[in-house]
Amino acid sequence: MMKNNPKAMQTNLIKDHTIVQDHWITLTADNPIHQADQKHIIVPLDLWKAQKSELIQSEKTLGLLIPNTTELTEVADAFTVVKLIAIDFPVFTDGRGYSLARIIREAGYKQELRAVGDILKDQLFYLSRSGFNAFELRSDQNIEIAIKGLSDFSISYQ
Amino acid sequence: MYIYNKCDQKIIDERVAQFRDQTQRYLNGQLSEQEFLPLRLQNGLYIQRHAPMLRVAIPYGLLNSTQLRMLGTIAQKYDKNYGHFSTRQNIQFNWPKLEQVPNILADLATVQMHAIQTSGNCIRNVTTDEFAGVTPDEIEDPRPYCEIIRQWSTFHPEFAYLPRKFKIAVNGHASTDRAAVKVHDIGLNLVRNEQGEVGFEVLVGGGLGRTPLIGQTVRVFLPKSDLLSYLEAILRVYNRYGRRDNKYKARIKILVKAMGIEAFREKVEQQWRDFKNSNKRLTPETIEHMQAFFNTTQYENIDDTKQQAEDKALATQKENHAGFTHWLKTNTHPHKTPGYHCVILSLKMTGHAPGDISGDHMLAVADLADQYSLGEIRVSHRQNLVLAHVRTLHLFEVWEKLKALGFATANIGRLTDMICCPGGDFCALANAKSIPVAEDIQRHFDKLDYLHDLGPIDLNISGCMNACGHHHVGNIGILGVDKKGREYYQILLAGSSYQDANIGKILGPSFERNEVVDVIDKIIKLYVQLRVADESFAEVLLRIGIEPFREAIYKSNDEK
Repeated sequence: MMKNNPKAMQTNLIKDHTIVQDHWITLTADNPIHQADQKHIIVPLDLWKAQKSELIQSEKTLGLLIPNTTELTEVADAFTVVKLIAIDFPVFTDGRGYSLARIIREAGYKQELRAVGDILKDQLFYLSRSGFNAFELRSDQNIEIAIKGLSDFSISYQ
Repeated sequence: MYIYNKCDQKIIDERVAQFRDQTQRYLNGQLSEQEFLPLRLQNGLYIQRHAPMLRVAIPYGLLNSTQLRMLGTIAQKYDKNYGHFSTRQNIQFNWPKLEQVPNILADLATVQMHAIQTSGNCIRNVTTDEFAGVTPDEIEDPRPYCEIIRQWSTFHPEFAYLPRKFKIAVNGHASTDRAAVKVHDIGLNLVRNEQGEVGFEVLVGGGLGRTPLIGQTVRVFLPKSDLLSYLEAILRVYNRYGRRDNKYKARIKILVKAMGIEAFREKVEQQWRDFKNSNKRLTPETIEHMQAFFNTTQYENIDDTKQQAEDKALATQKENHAGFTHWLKTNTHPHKTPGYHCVILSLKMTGHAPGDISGDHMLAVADLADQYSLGEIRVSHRQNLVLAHVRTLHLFEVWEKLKALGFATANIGRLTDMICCPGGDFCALANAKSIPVAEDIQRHFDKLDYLHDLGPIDLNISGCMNACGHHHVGNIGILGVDKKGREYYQILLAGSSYQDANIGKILGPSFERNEVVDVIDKIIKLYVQLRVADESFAEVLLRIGIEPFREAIYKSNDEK
């Protein structure tokens, strides 16, 4: 089924209700900043804390990857600098990322808020209502089927 | 009662479609067992010992006759013609087929019912007093707030994957608590402050299970308008900081205990300050709009002459029928409207599993509700049913009809009105059977005169330490335990689920099943011996403690 769907083979990203290509790359120990040739880089929180000024001065467009246990005070100063915040879901049943997303939105952050990790169809509706506008699905997911999860419900109580 | 509008209906219809798709993907192998698990749980579906168990929500225990008829029909069509009312005012079907569950949910949706969030690590069905809105000395009817909470918590996107389940109960009384608010994750007491305003006392961190704890007051007075913002603040603190490494340490009570109530309160209030001026505030219009649904206006106006005549007739009926007199005493509750009474249907007749009722009988009770009680039925957390608006002049008739159905056992609040979980006969978690123990006790204490003489006694039975049968808060609690593969029973004394809520104390080493009745009998006999005047069982325990009981039980056992 995926074979007939070249788009799904290339990307696992949904942004603003559309299947899109991901032009961001996440920095890791194997792929540090001076080796990353892409313009858009996602920096893990630890690295951000350690090399904040260096990162800000770089030519790169910055994103931030944070664990779901992050406090607002740890990231508030990044809101005006970064164009993306990614919250990690270690397992889909760990709901801390939902509260963190809302806290970040309530604090006024307006750029891309991306759910990454164990991201599946059946949680997309709740994730989007908690403030996420981008979803990096677990690699085995069929993105064409998953995107329908965003419209499981047409109305909500809250 | 609350009537769905187009939006409410659409939401549950869409839920049915969503779950149909999820079930289909699971059966096709597109969803793993692990991925399907929380989805089915949040639709009330467990996999049990024999078959799946479906728990259907009865929001704050309130049903209309059409809904009860639907439950009866579902029992007949998809189950073995019965259902089990639970301690959280819900109903459980023990024998549905997984592939039929989407159809059951579709049937339920036609009568404004669902199984949403009746299980899983989310906000569960909100519960309240079974006499809410009709009991005379209530501060305010708690049900409008229950419905406001129901809507707010339904599919709340932030709180669908909490560390553990979350239960909220609301009580409308200052002096009586029939909703067991002190053993809930959040308990809300409607209260009046010094300025005469009505608001909520907020309790947090109560619960039973492996670590039974009594809830503590986190806020003495919360204005009504802040109800949802405050709940949301508590839930957010819990969702972020509650433990997720051990499911037995994941309830909010453990977090509150670990942080201490002061630190917990500070964290909540800090979050709440950010919410206070947001759109989470309830307007007086919202509250009034909701209250209008619960204002019963169909009561007949009974003038004094009529009232006197009916009371006189009732007195004659009592004189002629001792059984009727007994029943009136235990199985009715006062109503705030002259000429009306609440009638409690005992689902605790000897030989029947407590809380169980057949589909046929559900239909019969629905008919009675139409005929005598404005078409409304309530479920109590003690697993009985209530017809809340019965006219004085119909009481005798209702009693006779209930007798014919088997629901007139005059034992409400008495020893045999037991709370009992489904236990090892059905539940995969249970260590021991609970229903046969309940039956042994019912058979032994079958004499109504004796039961009435003993006065109010709560006896609660759980088949394992998860405590679905509330054994910790019974005046007498029975807990099934497993000892090297054999079923044993621990006895607890002096628990209470009311305003003086208290966790019972373990009497001593556990007993084999065939010893349980004998032990209960000894406890009761000692109580009769020790009581002064009309002291209740709970009062005697309060006065002398459990030691004399412990001595009597274990000393005599040693002598054997």
